[in-house]
Amino acid sequence: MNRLRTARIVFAVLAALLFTQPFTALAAMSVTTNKASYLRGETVAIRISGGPANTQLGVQVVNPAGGTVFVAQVGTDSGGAASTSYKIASDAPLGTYTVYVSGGGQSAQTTFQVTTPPPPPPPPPAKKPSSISLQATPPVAVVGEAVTVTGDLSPDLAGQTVSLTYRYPGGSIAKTVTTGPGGGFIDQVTPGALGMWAVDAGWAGTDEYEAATARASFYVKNGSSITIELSASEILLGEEVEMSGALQPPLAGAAVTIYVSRDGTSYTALATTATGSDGSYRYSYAPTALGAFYFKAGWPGNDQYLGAESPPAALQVLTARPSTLVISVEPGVIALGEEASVAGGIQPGVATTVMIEYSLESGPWTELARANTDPTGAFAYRWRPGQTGSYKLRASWPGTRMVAGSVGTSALTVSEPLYRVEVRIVDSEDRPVPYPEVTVSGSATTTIVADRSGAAVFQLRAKSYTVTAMWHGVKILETSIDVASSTKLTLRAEVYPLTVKAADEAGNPLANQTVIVKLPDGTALYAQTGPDGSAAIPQVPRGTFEVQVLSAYKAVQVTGPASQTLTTPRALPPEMPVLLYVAIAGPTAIAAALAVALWRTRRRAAQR
Amino acid sequence: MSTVHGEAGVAMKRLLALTLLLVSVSLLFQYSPVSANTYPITITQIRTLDSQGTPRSSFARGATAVIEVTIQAAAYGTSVSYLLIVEIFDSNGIVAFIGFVSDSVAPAQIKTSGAGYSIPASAPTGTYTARVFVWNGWPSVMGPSWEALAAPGQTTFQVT
Repeated sequence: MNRLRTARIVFAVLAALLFTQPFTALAAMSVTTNKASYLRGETVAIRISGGPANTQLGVQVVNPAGGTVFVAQVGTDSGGAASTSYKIASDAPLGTYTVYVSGGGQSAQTTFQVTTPPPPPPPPPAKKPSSISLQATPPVAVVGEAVTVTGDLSPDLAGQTVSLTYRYPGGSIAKTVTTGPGGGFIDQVTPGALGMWAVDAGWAGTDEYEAATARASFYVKNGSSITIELSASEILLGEEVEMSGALQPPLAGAAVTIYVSRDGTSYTALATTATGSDGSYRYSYAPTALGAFYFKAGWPGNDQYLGAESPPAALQVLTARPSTLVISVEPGVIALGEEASVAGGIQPGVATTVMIEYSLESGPWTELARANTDPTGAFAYRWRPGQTGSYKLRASWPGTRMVAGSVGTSALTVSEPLYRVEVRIVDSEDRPVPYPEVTVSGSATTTIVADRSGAAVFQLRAKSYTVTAMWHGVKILETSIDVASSTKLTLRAEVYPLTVKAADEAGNPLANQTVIVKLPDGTALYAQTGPDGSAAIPQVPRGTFEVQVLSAYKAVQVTGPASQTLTTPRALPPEMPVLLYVAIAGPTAIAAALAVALWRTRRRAAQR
Repeated sequence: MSTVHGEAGVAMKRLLALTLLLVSVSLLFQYSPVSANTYPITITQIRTLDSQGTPRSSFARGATAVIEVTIQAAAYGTSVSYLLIVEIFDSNGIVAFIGFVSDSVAPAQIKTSGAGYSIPASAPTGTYTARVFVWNGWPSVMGPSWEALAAPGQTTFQVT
């Protein structure tokens, strides 16, 4: 029994010894990693199992080049398990790494891979790009004014739905439009809200094309207006023109820019001023050049109001223009009591008042009248001078700011009045003396050949004149007349009748004899004696003349009505018949000879 | 008696057989003694020095950090060959450096070894950790006969 008990005790001790120690050989030590492959930077979790319990183990990680990159000393738990971890460096070589675990009489190893990240998955098939161009016109609109939004989809696809979203302060409006041929689209919106509006256009794209979006924006403001007025449309160089205007709405302190242009097309900023409390502004400017200037006023607007620009205002910068004043008097010579027309004009035409003055015989100037010109500058005045003489007339006007004054002069002669004086020259028998030369001598001499009735008409001023009359070279009249009015004067000239009696030596009257009276101007007066041998010559001027009857000559002095007797032989005057005979007998003899010759020729012809 | 003897004998025989079985199993699977935390070598000091040998706890990038390890062998036994490994982790926990020294130490002998780590100019700044192992060799080489000869030690230093 003791031996048995002893054996039992030995067994128990052995069993206790045996089972108080782990039987590691029942499960061989192994080492694993949580993944088979790692990327650089990842952590390798190393787990050991089946190792000796409560034992220190050495862990070594070797890279593909054989270099040790990690070591650790870990202790297993009562189950023979342990773990550690290792972070792979960012520059660790790629390849197969080996993990060695040894200790406690056991060893194990495993491997893992260090790899590069797998290439990214291939992108899905790329769609073609698309785009939308978008514009809003106008970029700044007045509230209530339509804004047109135009766009163009690229690619040029028609019938595509494009969404339009209008975003404004406090709300939004969504619309859709459809593209037309070429991808274009258009929309209009009438904004009612102030502020910035944004338009977002979107297209969903297709299987072939990517979606596209675009944005445009515009501002909506209240409208405004501004005016500009000039103090004058024309000024002289060196003068100032005042510009004024008002901004509507009447904002105070708004910056107003004055623009100037010389051609009405291209404007540059001239000055900037500010509106007053009532929105008005003023600005004065003195142009430094002649010619046309154009001005505009503008303001840029503000957050609430759209800017505005005024219509242009034109200004002419001038120098004072010269003027001419022409005055004329028609007729230039008048008789006292007659009217003269004083007329003239100012160039350039201006409606004004012209002062008309006169100076008589270079005396002092006396204002005659003030005449108003019409818009063309013309004036007229009728004047009846009260005195005779030589007048100078002067018209003048002082000019205006733009046109210089000027003076014009003319002349007028006012003479005594002319009277119609008809002078009729008659002979001693009151018979008219035909065609005498009548001369009226006064301050001037006028000679008129009177008519058949002996009348001559003169225009004579009232004064005394000497009237003379010449007839056939003989002064038949010289007398004085006083002219005080128009009149008819019959002046008896020294022209008398003359009776010539022709008788032979025996005292017998010679009938049918030609009586010739030779006058100084070569005129010959003829008369034929009657049966009583007398011949009457009705008008013979006073004087001594040669009277001839046949071969009788006699100088006869006529101083009044007279009768003269001339005694003469009956024979023809010797010097006259010779030629007369030749002239008559010659042709008569030739004619007779020709007639005889003709007669004899015809007779011979008849005899044959 | 014989019954007793007989029963006792049978029992003894069975007990002996079982004992033999246990002994055989134990011999077969080798007995693994429980670690007693008794190492032949003790790491007595770990210091960080600069290249001039001056102890420093902070190094600039580009400088060399020397990890100096002092070990002492146990006073009994025989001379021990060892592998001293210095493993440095940067501030991101990545192994930045592994240095090692193979040597032997006589009983009770004190030895000091050092491993110099040239800190790259691009190294991350922060707290670095140096761990020191004293093994009988590389696990990959020693295999099942690998064993630790000292309890691991560690120190930290700053890289600026």
